[in-house]
Order: sequence, then C-alpha cells, then structure tokens
Amino acid sequence: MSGRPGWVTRRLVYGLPGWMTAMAYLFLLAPIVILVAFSFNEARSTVVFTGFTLDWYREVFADRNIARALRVSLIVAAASAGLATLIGALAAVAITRRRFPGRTLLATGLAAPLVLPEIVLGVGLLVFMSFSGIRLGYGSMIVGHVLVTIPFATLIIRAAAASLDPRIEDAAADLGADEWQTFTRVTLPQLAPAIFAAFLLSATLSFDNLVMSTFTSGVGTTTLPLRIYSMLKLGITPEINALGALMVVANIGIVLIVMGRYLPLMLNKPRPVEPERKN
Amino acid sequence: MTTRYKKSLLAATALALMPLGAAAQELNIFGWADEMPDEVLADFEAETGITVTFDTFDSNESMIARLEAGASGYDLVNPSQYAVQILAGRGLIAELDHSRIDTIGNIGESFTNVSYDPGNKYSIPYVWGTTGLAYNKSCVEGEITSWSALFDEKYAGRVYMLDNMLAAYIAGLQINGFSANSSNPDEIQKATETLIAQKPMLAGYNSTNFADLVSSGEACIVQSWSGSVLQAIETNPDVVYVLPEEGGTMWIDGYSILGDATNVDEAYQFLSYILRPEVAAKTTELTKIATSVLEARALLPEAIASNSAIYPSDETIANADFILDVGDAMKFYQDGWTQVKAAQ
Repeated sequence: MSGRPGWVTRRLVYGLPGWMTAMAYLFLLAPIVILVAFSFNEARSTVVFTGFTLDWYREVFADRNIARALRVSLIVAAASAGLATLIGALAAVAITRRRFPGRTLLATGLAAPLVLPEIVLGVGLLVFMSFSGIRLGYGSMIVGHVLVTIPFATLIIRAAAASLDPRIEDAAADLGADEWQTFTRVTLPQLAPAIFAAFLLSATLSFDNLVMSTFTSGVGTTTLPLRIYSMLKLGITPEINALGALMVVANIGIVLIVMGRYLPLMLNKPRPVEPERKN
Repeated sequence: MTTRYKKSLLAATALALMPLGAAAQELNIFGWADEMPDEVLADFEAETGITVTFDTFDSNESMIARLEAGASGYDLVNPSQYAVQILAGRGLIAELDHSRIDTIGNIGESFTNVSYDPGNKYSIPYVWGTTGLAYNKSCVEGEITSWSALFDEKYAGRVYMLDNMLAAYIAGLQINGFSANSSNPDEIQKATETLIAQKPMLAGYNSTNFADLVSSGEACIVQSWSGSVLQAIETNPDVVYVLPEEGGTMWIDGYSILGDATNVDEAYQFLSYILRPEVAAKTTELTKIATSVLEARALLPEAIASNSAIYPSDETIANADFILDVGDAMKFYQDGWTQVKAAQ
C-alpha cells in the first residue's frame, strides 16, 4: 500500500484538515498554557522562568483588594445571571409558544445587544443613569450586565423550547392540567437543563465583563476584571498570572458542568414516537 | 390603608437608617491601584474610625469620563497633573481650604508651586515619578544618556516604546528639541513623522512588561516609567534607569476633593493624615514611589533614599517637563498617534 505513487500526497491532503485544526488549537491555547506556567515562576518576571513557587497564589489569596473585588464580581454575576435567565426563560416560552403582536420585535429586541457594540451600550447606560439621577453601584452594574447577558440566555432557552414537542403539553391539557400546572410540571422540567446552562453561561459572561463594568461601576463596586486592569499600570507580575490561572480553571469547570449536563441531553434526546394513524 | 402602610414603612426605614448615617463615617476614594498601600489605609481607618472605600481606575481618561457623568459618589480623586487641570477646568473638583489640612506645610517647596496647579489650589501633590528610559548594560555600549538611543539603528528590534500616546510623544517631541507639552501643530506633526520613521526598528510598543524584557536582555533599551523598573533594577544590577539629557518628564499623582463630595470632613482628615512624614515614608517604602513630603526621605532605609530611580537629583528634575493639559491641541496628538499606530 505505502509504496504506491501518490500515497504521500494523499495522506498529506487528507491529513491537512486535522493538522490545521491541531495548529489552530495550539495557537489559541498556547498563551493560556504560558500564562499558567509563569504563575509558578519564582522571579517577579513574566519572561524568564527561574524556579517553581506557589508564592504568587499565596499573594493572591492574601490580597484584601482582590478578595473584595472577587466578592463584588460574584454578587453581580449571580444577580445578573439570575435576572437574565428569568427574563430569558419567560421570553423564550412566550416567543415559541404564543402568538401575539410584537412577537418578532420582542425576539429581535432581546437579541439586539448581541450585535450592538458593548461600549455604545455602556456609554448610553451611563448617560441615562446620570441623567435620571441614579447612583452608580450594584444596581446600575447588574442592569448593565443583564443587558449584555440576556441575548445569550434567551437564545439558549429558545433553542431548547423550540425543540420541545408541543403535543406533550397538549396531552397534559387533555389530562386536565391547567396552564400553570402544564408550565410548572411539564414545560419547566423539560427546559431545566437549558435554563441551568443559560444561567451558568450568563454568570461566566458577567464575571468576565470589563467594558460594561467600566461604565456602570460605582463606589465600592470594583469588579475583579476592573481591578486586574488597573493593576497593569505598574507592570504585569506573576500575581496577575496566578489570578488569571485561577479564573481559567473556574471557567473551564463551569463550561464542563454545562457540557456535562446539557450536551448529552441535546445529543441523545429521544425522538418523539410518531403516533400511529388509523383510519 | 395603603398610604398608612407606606408611611409606616417609610418611618421604619428612616429609623433603621438614622443611627447608621449618624455614626458610621465614610470616605470614598477613586485612585490609582498600587500607589496607596493597603497598610496606610488600614492605619487611617484604625486611627480615625472612618471606613475607607478605595476604588481603582486604569487611566486618567476613563476616570474623567466617570466623574463627568456626575453623581459618582466619590469624595477624593487621585488625578495626574494634566488631569487636575481638566477636572478643575470642568468644575469637577473643589478649591481646597488649606486651613483644614494641618500638615500642609510638609509639602516640599518645589511641589507647592507646580505649573499645573499654582499654590496647590485644587490638588495636594502626593506621589511622583519620572518618564525616561531604561537599558540593560550588557547589551549596549557605554552609557546611554539621550533619547537618540531609542532611534539608533544599532539596536533595531531590541527597543520598546511605551504603548501610551502622551508618553511616546515625549520622546518624539524632545528629540526634535521641542517641549513635551507642545501645542504647536507643526511640532506635533514633526514628532509624528519621527515616530513613524522609528517604527520599523521597534520591537514593539509595550507598557506592561517592558521591565521584564529589558531585564532578561530580550530588549536593550526601553522607554520607561521610573516606578515600573525598580523591581527589575533590584534583581538585576545590569538594568539602569536614566532621565535623558533632553529632559524626560515628571508626573505627579495628587489628591483632590470632588465638588459634589459628601464626606468633606473625612476627606480633609485623610489629606492631613497622608502628609505626615511617617505616613509618607511608609507609602514610599511599600510602593517604591517617592512622595512630595520631603521629610519622609530621611525616615527611609538607605537603599530607597539613595536610589536615583526613585529620587533623581534636583538638576535632572529641574530639566524635566511636566505633561500638562494641551487643550484643543490634543486632537493633533490623537490624529498623529493614529497615523503612527497604523504605519507599517
């Protein structure tokens, strides 16, 4: 086999997509690997590796400001993801199940922040808040983050809601369930994995957000990304690498949870059995 | 019924909030990260019982944008010299009542009449440093004393400039013999051309880890802020920081009270506190940045007090420019910088 002419070329051509994929992943992931590697660097350098240490992690955990910023980030992420998921879930069910005037407008409106530059949304929100005399702080930041995360929450839950079999709900109604019972006992449990995934994705997006936070944070609400960005003025130290490594690990953890819960359900969803038609 | 309920709820809320509002003293500061040590803030809190909230910003520009939107909730802000001019010009910071700062006499004489704020009318100068260049002795010949080294073909590919418009223009303007504060469009244009001509030989623009690069020898010469290379100088004796003979620049980050501050008394207490020599010394010891309080220098360990990167000689400082607000000329800088960044 291997002696035949053209074998090498063929192998190369067929292997090319695989190689390109591997190179692309390498290119994308190498910086993260380097970031993590230098977080263990003994010297205060992010260029020369001199020896192994865990001191930078110790420093991260001892840093009062980082702890405070982390708390702010977690509060904002939980609150804004909760709100975005709640609104997203209700909107998704309404858009896929109901026919009402302005339905397309609502669907487009909820997806709009996806295509609008975030900096425009941020400036707009800042101007609006100061115009209406609202103090910047947790409230303004949560509103801003809901705006940024709601398209993702809505899209995920809409996709799941669209793939639900409406006949199951019809069957529930046939069996005497009222609308509320149908929603809480039939629709909601089927949507639960998607809602869970939407919540975690929104929380991650909010946690990593920098642009919206820049414009909407107030007294005492410096988030972790804002804190890291302001630490850069005096140069990158491995402390920032260590913090980055911890954030990468946390984010990968969340993504794995989402995939573990949500993907199998999406991929192996049993097809609804086609009811036999007689007569 | 509902109104009564509402009223009682309001009364209850007011009652619940009142003792808090009367007892808890607060101070909200918006400042640079790493220029005010946590220890100093903690000491101040312990001494006065005032709770300090210290939020950080990443640039004067984003800080000004936030304050301009109004109702920021901050009492004190930590602007650099040209930002003081902008904030004062827009009426965002209040005139200081010097009689309420009992330690005001501790500010060194050279800082009391700074060109951007004569007589410290709007700001208390606090920490200061310089913008010059750093080099690695092992890869350059002789001493470097001029910006011209950053434009020397010999070091092509081993030179970094600060990735900051105003900083890059310091070198671009001063090497042509102009002031780093020029508002003359022709001079700025000349500087833009110089920076564009320099670009092919640069390894890049970098304002984050240039100190590491020069320390490892990957870069020979970098444009640099004094505070950023101190750690590198400490670990690697080959690294040298100089203010170039063309002048370089000096920056001062001070404190100003916002026009809409609500905790004004606390703000004055804080200003009085940080100007004490022992507090200023602690600040310098922990941040490695010099303060405007001259007496603090005597309280510092020898290694810091005699470090010329922290405390340059008086002659070199006198030769340095301040970056001031150039007003409308800013658009020539911005246009020029866009051209520099877009050039190949």
